[in-house]
Amino acid sequence: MKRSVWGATACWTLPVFIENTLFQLDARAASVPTVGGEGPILVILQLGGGNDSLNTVIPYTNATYQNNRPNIRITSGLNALGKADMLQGSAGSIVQQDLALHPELTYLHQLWEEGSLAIINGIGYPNPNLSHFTSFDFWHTAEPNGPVRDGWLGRYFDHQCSGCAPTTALEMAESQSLALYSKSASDASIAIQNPHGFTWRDLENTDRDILLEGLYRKLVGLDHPVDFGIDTVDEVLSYVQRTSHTAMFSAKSVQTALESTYQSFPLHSGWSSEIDGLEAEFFNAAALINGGLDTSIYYLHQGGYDTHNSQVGANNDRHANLLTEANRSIRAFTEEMKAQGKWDRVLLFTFSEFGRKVIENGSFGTDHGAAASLFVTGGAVKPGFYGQFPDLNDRIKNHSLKHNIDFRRVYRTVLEKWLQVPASAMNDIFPSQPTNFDILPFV
Amino acid sequence: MLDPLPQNQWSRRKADHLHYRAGYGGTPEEREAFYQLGRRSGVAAAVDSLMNPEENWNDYPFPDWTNSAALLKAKAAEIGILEFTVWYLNHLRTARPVTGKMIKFFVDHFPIDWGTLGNKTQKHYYLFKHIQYIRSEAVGNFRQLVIDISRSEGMIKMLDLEESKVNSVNENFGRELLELFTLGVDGGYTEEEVQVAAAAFTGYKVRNYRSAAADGNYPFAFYIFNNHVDSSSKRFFVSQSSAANLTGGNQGDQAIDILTSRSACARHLSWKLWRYFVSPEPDSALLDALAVQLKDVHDYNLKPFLRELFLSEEFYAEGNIGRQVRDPLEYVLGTNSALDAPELPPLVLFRALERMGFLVMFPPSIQGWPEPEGAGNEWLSTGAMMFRLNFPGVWSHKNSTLFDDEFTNAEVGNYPGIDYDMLAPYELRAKQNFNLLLQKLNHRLLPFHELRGSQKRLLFDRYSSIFDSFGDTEAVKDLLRLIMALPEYQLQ
Repeated sequence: MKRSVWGATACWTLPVFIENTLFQLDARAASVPTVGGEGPILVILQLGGGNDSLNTVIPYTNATYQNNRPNIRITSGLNALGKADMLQGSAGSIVQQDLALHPELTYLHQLWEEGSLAIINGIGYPNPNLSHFTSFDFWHTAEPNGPVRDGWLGRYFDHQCSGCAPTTALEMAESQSLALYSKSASDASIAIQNPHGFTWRDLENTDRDILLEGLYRKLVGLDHPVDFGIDTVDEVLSYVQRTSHTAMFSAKSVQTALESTYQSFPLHSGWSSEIDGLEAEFFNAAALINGGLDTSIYYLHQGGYDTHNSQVGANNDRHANLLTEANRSIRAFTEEMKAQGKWDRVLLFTFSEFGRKVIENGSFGTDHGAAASLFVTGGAVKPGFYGQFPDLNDRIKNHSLKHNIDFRRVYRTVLEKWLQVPASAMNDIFPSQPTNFDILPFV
Repeated sequence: MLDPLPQNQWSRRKADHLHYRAGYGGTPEEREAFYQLGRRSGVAAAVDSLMNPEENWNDYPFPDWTNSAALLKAKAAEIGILEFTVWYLNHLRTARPVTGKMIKFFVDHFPIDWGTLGNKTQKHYYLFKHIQYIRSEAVGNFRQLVIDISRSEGMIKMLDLEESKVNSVNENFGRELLELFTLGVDGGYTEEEVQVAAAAFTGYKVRNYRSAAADGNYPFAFYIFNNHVDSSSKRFFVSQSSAANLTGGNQGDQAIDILTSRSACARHLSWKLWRYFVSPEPDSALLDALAVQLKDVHDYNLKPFLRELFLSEEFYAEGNIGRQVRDPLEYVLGTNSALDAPELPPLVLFRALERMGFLVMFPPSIQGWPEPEGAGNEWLSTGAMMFRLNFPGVWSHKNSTLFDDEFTNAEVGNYPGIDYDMLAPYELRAKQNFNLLLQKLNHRLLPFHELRGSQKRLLFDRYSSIFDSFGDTEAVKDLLRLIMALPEYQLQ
């Protein structure tokens, strides 16, 4: 059996396990900025379904935009951004185009005005795939049109995060995104939908007041004085044993962070009274950050962007509703981070598997497209436009837009300039050609 | 290579291994009877008992609400997927064990994603239809199954086959056919073959319900739209000595014939089946031998091939026993059968699978659900593992606080619960009989692992203190709860 299959990397659960010395277990760990408790924090917001980018960052004065979207164009009530570079013609000359944010994106507009929002236009990858599934695979593996083996963050763990705590990355989901799949160090990320439920449970429906938890920890060797519970011969058995340690250990970290945060959280009154959906994910992330959890990557989700119909309309304004929720959630989270003096430690970027076609379809919606715009925000972000807005007349794959910024440039930038991953590691993290993606100066 | 296990090597441990891998295990009594069958009548008889008699699929009809577009539409999305799940899992639970496991295997090999199947009316129907295609050849012929799958309305939707037409080919299906369904990613083909394969499947459509029924066909049925078919002659594998022609109509079926005739296809499927039933990394010689049996000897007839696999010495190698992580379905169905417990309420089952990372018919990618290789340890993502540490509380204590929503928790409250008197006979409950009781539960719940001395001592201390304060039944409940939460319980 291959070593990599079951992973011999989770050295932090070996018998020398002591929580405080986690980062001394591996020499490399010293250089790894995984101490989310104090270090930089990356928040990734995945917009599922293919966000209609053209109705998010809107070239509202553009005749092609207006003519191709007679029923769903948005030309009033906008949050103007000013002029940006737009490609035009086959020679690739550049013209200036007025852009504006969707009317609901008022807080993102405020961030823009404050100088902490970067907008990257024309983002995508070569030979775009219009399947949700496949295109997400490409974004997650960072190997467009390549084999689906592991995720870009998983490779970061594999090559730069040996000895990292299991809570280095936290995905708010029932199961892990492909982006976090690693070949060996699966223990560097956890996937939980609801941190409040992520804990040992057993007193319900009994008359007892002594948890089985302490006993269970001894049973699996976590706190046992002599039986450490990790088989030394059977690597499959030792894998599941380590996994139980990871679960118990990270649940404790998460619960400890939640407990310590309750004293002072939330500071900001901008959260809704009934928090659910995306806002709940942001709320939980903010609570864990505030509680000092050692997580440096939070991976959040908002779905529903597959607006083939009714994306604009008096009765069912699907796209606007989604953006309202995103705007509200980002606002509450950002204001909370600012109130806590942590905004400078946070970098948030959004992405979707693809944008949508230039033309509207017959159902007040849009079909799957390609290139799109992407938001980056945070206290340390260098604001402005990056990349060029695609030429709306220069279309591929049946009315989809061409990209001019490869999304892997964003990945590389956040790894190298935000999480401080050494440039020398990039060939391991981006193993397929082309590998040498230029940094974008948004950090 | 692949010699049958000598009869004199049949043992309870090997019988359990077969019972758990080719099925979902069972009560100690069922396992003992299975062992005795193999001892008395031969290992082959034991294997055959897991495969025969074959099902009559008429006993598994589609629910009535799938019979009309109006009723399909009326089903709220969530209820539809829930009822589908119950129906689908009923196959796994009640079909012959090997057949059930093969259906599960092919749902993973040919994954379709509920979210990509079109509107609510259609998508539920496609799920049922997809299982129907799969079950009819689950232990039948693989070549025929690939042909059927190329006509599965769900797969046509899933991989954009509808959009593929002459001069405007969508390669999505063609690529996955080669890469995932037949040859495998290193299966000796080039981009050119992907293009040829894609062109061979042009014109595959699904009838829209609005235009259906006039010709007697059920709405949403597969058909070929001739105007979109690329019927020009094509050379398949043109650069190889085995080049072949695709001509005239039915080029998709011809392409599947050619693909399955290649040894890479037999090797790929053998590898996946070995990985699924036995261990992640069979050596190359074993794979060669399996591929020869699958294609050259059995012509892709799965039942005789699997019979050979389950009889082989290699299957019973000690290194393969008790060393597979149970997937969420194996975990739930296996626990229910080991405890001889009533079926879990559908909503509890559905949500539990979800929490363990198995969203029924929402595969994480076109590669299907995680496998016990590479990212396969994903079955035990941290949240999923914590859930597996807690979920035994549903069986042992009817813990109705595990889920985020009150409906599911209320369903747990309605669960009839397990039979403690059967699981822990009264005469074994006295503290001085603790070792015997523990031995019995160890045998029932952890057939392949012996509890360690330190664990036995800890469990005794707990049993003893709860016994004194709350009585024997409460002590038994805690014992069950803790044993089923052990890491070893995740293995089969």
